[in-house]
Amino acid sequence: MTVTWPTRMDHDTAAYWQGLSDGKLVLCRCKQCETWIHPPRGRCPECWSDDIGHQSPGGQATLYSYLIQPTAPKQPPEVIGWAELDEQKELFIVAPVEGMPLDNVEIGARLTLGFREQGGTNLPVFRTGDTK
Amino acid sequence: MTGGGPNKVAIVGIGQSTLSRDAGRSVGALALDAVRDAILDSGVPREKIDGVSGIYSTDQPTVWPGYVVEGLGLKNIVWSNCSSPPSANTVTEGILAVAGGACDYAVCYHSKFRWDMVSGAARKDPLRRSPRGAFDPAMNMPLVESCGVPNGMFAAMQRHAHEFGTTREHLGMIVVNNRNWALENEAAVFNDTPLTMEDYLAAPQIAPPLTALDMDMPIDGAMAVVITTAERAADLPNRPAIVEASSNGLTGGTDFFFHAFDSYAAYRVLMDRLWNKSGLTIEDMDLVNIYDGFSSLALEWIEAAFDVRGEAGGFLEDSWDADAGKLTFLGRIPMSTHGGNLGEGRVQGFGHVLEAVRQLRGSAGKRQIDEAKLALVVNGNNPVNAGMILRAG
Ligand SMILES: [Zn+2]
Repeated sequence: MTVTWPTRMDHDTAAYWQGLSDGKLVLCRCKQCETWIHPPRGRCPECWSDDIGHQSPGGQATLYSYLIQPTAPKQPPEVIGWAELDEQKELFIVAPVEGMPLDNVEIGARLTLGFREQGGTNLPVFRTGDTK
Repeated sequence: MTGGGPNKVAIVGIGQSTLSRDAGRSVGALALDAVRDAILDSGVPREKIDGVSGIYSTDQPTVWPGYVVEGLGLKNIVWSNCSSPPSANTVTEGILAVAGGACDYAVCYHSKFRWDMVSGAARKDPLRRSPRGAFDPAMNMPLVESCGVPNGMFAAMQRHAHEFGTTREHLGMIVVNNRNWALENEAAVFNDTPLTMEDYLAAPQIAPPLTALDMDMPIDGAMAVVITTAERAADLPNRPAIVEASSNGLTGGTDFFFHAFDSYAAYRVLMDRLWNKSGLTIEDMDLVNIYDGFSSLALEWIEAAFDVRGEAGGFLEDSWDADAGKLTFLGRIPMSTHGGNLGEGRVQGFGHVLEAVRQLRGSAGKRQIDEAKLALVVNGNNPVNAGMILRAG
């Protein structure tokens, strides 16, 4: 698959974008204290270690909040969710939520990570419900 | 000066340009209008102005201090500053510079302009083309762009409503209060446009639960203040507004995105500092000028200022006069008598500073409140903010 890199990438975010091009969500995680860190950073905000590794979370999340985002003209808007990953409190992935009616968005709903290609870049999305 | 402590500082001059949807002047000219008027108002001779403080914006071009110095022929500047947002940081920095003796008379300003990125209408105007170049101090832009640059502040309000039962009526009380005060402010962009609660509730929610009425109106405009020591202020013509405390709160990056839900925490840091430094409490205030870039931010500011976390809804209901369409806190404290950003126009909270000075001077005209001795001004959003307590000198 051809990768379209984002407009700006650096030493902290490269693993995130490489992961997406491989069809995975790859996040920073401190090797010393196991804190998950997102957005990507070069040093742990909890223990100050720079021993930062990368791991994929399990993909289960809860909808913490959202907004209704316009898309293209004459297309329906979509739900952009702050998905709080099960791994850690307030560890958010901000991504579209598919399969949730616009007039009944449910904060607290269970979500499962997926991916969708957009403009040549593979991006995270969430779908309603837990993985079976 | 005696005692070796920091100088007591005062705001001694205020100035502003016109505030309008289309000033017919450049943003630079507007900044010069405001700075010139503030210096003239202060009575300080031009030659004595030796400090200048502006702001840079992360999303829109701003007028930097060198432009103002050159444009007004200020030839004796020995201290300058260009702060990160929010806009009141330009004032808090000026306060520090004068308090610490880096300069004697600082002029601090902020300007806003309807650049081409503001709206489709602005893009059609060839005189509103902005310089190119993206700036990303929070280092998160690609992650945000991938989702269509959603604005975390809207999501923060959804979460507030979910946790605390906050409704659109509660936001409407803030909006209608500010719009009603704007009717009494001839400089306000909404000076002749009444808004009722019914109008508010009928407005379309463009970023649910927020409507266009919940978002400050982009305008062309600039404002400025002149700061010096309280000692020097005694020799100047205006009644000074003495700075009892000023501070910043900062709890994270400035992308309003991943940190969108930390606003109350950031406001708490600031409020605790202001009360601790001044020895005052909210009950001592006669006026509160609460930042309202979005009505939802004002709602969380009210929670922090009055220490009613999660209870803003009931607190607003208790403070609401439906007939007047205005809020009065604790039975006597009005909010943003100039109309705030929602009523006066978007100079990003700088008008809140100027209005506090006017009220403390007793020069607020028909909106003057009785016995205005102490005013709280808070500015900014999450996670970056600033604030001050001013006392009539
Ligand atoms: Zn760590």
